[in-house]
Parts: sequence; structure tokens; C-alpha cells
Amino acid sequence: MEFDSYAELGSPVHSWEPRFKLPAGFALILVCASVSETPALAAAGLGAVVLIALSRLPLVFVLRMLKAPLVLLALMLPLLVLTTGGQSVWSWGFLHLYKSGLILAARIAAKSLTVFLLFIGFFATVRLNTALQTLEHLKVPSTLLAILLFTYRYIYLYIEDMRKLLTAARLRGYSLQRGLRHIGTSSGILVTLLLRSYEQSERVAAAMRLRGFNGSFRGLTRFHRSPADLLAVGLTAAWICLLLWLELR
Amino acid sequence: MHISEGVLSSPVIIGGYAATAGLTALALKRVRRHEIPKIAVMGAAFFVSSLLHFKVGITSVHLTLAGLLGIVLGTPAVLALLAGLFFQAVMFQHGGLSTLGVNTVIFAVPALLAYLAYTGLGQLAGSRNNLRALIAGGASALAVLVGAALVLLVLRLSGEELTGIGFLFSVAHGVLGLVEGAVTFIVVRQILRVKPEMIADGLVAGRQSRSQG
Repeated sequence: MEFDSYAELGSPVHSWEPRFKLPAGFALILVCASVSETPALAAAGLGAVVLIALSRLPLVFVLRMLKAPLVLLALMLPLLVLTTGGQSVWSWGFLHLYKSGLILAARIAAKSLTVFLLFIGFFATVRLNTALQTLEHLKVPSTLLAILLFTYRYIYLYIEDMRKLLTAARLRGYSLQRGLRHIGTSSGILVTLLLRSYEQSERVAAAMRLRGFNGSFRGLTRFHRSPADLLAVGLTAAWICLLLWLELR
Repeated sequence: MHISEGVLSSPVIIGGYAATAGLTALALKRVRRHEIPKIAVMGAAFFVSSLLHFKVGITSVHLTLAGLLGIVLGTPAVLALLAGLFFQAVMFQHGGLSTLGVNTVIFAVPALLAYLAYTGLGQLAGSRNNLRALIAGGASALAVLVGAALVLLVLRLSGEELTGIGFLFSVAHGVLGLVEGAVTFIVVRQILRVKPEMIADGLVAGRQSRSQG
């Protein structure tokens, strides 16, 4: 399951040019993560739902992307409700349910879902390599960009290598479930992964230098700007202003 | 140790990005082009390490590797952590985009401290590799505790109601610190044996051990 597996649909959000979409999305996400007043939060949530609807991403995909954050919220919010202190609305033995905790939990849940929905709407509608290429147009330092691209590449190598090593270890009676009793083996797997990929990365770097790598990557994507892209940026800016007004009035 | 979306207040989010921008600029100045693949390898290792869970009592923790990254890379560890955290946020929704700045600080500051501790104390150990590895283990256990303290700090700054949950979180990470220290000890000892030049100041130690052997 890939994050950008639905990046090729033809919706208005998909056809929004990434050089405009990604900065606009980033700004909107920062603003939505910063507001805390109820009307502003409600408006932000509404905006996120509209974006997802416009993007025509399959609901199943969106829910699957939300699974990890939802699990985290389910683990964290009950603890939050019991630990904030203040006026207690219900108590059982030494456990107290706090009013401020309930309000805070609701606010965090709403804000978290809003931001993740926006994130999916803006970033799952671009292929990840196109998004990285966009960063080059946005004047991200080339060294940082190269590190991002190499990291992205190595992640897949690591996952593949790790799967093989874990299978081999499991055949010999190793289990991650045993946890600390196998800490030596776990560390050994880590060392093997590190050394192997380090040596591989040295060879890759040498090969790239020999072929004239000078820090810039070439991609096949060509960017074309249209009036609709600017209109979408304008709409996002208006939305940000509305949210800020609702927050600060 | 990742802080998810929706928890932090706006001054903390902005402050986190400002601090990360500063650290990134500092690290970019120190990077030489041929180090890029090495940084990326460690960034990917950091990314993947969050998939390796250990069962401790009733809960499970995963390695952070912040200390190890600092010890292996030095200052450029900031870039590896930024890259790893970026992809964790994008691919797994682990952490988040608005909290990327804060999360980078939470991992980068401990990594840099571990690096300083290791290079400072490592000189005393000379070419005694087991002692060096022990120092590395101690430095990375300390890094986890510093990270947990930073999490407590940013939660507290975001709202006093969050202090309680931040405290619970920090206690749980005391245990992780011990596990992480042990793993780093084993990993660094093995690297010093097999490929000493991989470690930030390992070139010196590597030459010493080679000239002796």
C-alpha cells in the first residue's frame, strides 16, 4: 500500500499544479494546526472535508490513511482526560474524569483529523517523486534535496533487506515478540543492515560521481502553470484569511 | 517520541520550525558532497527503526536511534533526522507536517548532545574500542532521556493540561533509554571492529587501530 497510489486520478485537486498546490497546502495546514477557537476549528474541518470530496480519493483509501492517527488518538485521549487536572465531572476511586480534559480531547481530536485530512488531500494527490522535484523549484537547498531523494530510495532497500534478515532469523528461532531476551540478535540485525547499506551507498556514490553527478537531479515531469492554479491559490488564501479572522476576532 | 498533529499550540509550532531551520542551516554548512549517501543511509535507518518494536512488560517501545545517528554522523545528523521524520510523516502519518519542526528539534538536540559526549569522552578512551562503545551506549541512553524531557517541555509549553500526559510519556521512555543504550553499545562495538571509518571521528581511531595491528 503506497501513500501516492491514487496520485493519478483526474480530479481538480489532482490537476492543480504542484508548485502552487504544495506551498498553499503547507500554509493552510500550518494555519489549521494553529487555530484553537471552536468556530475556526469547525470551518477548518469543513474545508478539509470539501477538499477530500473534490479530490475524489476513494473513501476506503482515506480511512486506511487515517488509521494510524486514529489509533494514536484512541490511546492518548483517554489518558489525557484522566490527567489534565481541574474540575472533575466524574470519579471512581482515585480516577477522575476532568472537564478541561474532555474539552481539550475533543479539540485535539477535531484538529488532528482536520490536519490529516488536509494532508491527504494535498499530498496524496501528487506522486512523491514529483513532490520532491517540486521542492527543487521552490529553492530547497540542493544538498537537502539530494539527501531526501537518497533517503527515499534507501528506505525501500532497507525494508526489503530487513524482511529477508527477519525471515532468516525467524527460521533460527528468533522472534520480535520475545523482546528484550533477543536484544543481541535484534542489534545484530541492525548492524548487518547498517554495514551492508553503508558499503552499498559508498559504491553508489562513487558510481554517481563517475557519471558526472553534480548535485542536481533530472526528472521527466514538466510543470505548466494555468490560470486555474492561481485561482486555487487565491481561494486557499481567502480560506486562510477567514480562519484567521474567526480565530482572532 | 513523535508528536502528532493537533496537540501543539501555534507559538510552539512556529518556534519548532525556526529552530529546525537554524539547525538545518548549520548542518548544511558542515556537509561535504561525498557524505550525502552516508547521511541518507542513516536517515533511512532511522525511518526503518521505528518498525522494530520491542516488548517491554505490557507496553512496546521502538528504537529511536537519535544517539546513534549523532555519533555516526556528527552535526549532519540533523539532516538525516529531518529526512527520516519527513518520510515517516508522509508515508505512515507518523508525526505530522505541522509538527515536523518540533519533532526534528526533539530528535536533533539529543543527537547533537550524544555526538558531543561521545567525541569528548571518546578521546579519553583512545583506541580501547569496548570502552568507546560503552561511552556511545551511555551517550545514546542519555539522548533518549533528553528527548523525553524535550517532549515534556513542548507539551507543557503548549498547555498546562498536557503536563500529566507528558510526564507519563517521559517515565515510559526511561525504559527505552536503557534498551537504546544497550543496542547502541552492541552496534557501535561491532562498527568499530569492522568499519571504524563509518563513525564521525572514527577515521582517527581507525588509523590508530590499524597502525597497531
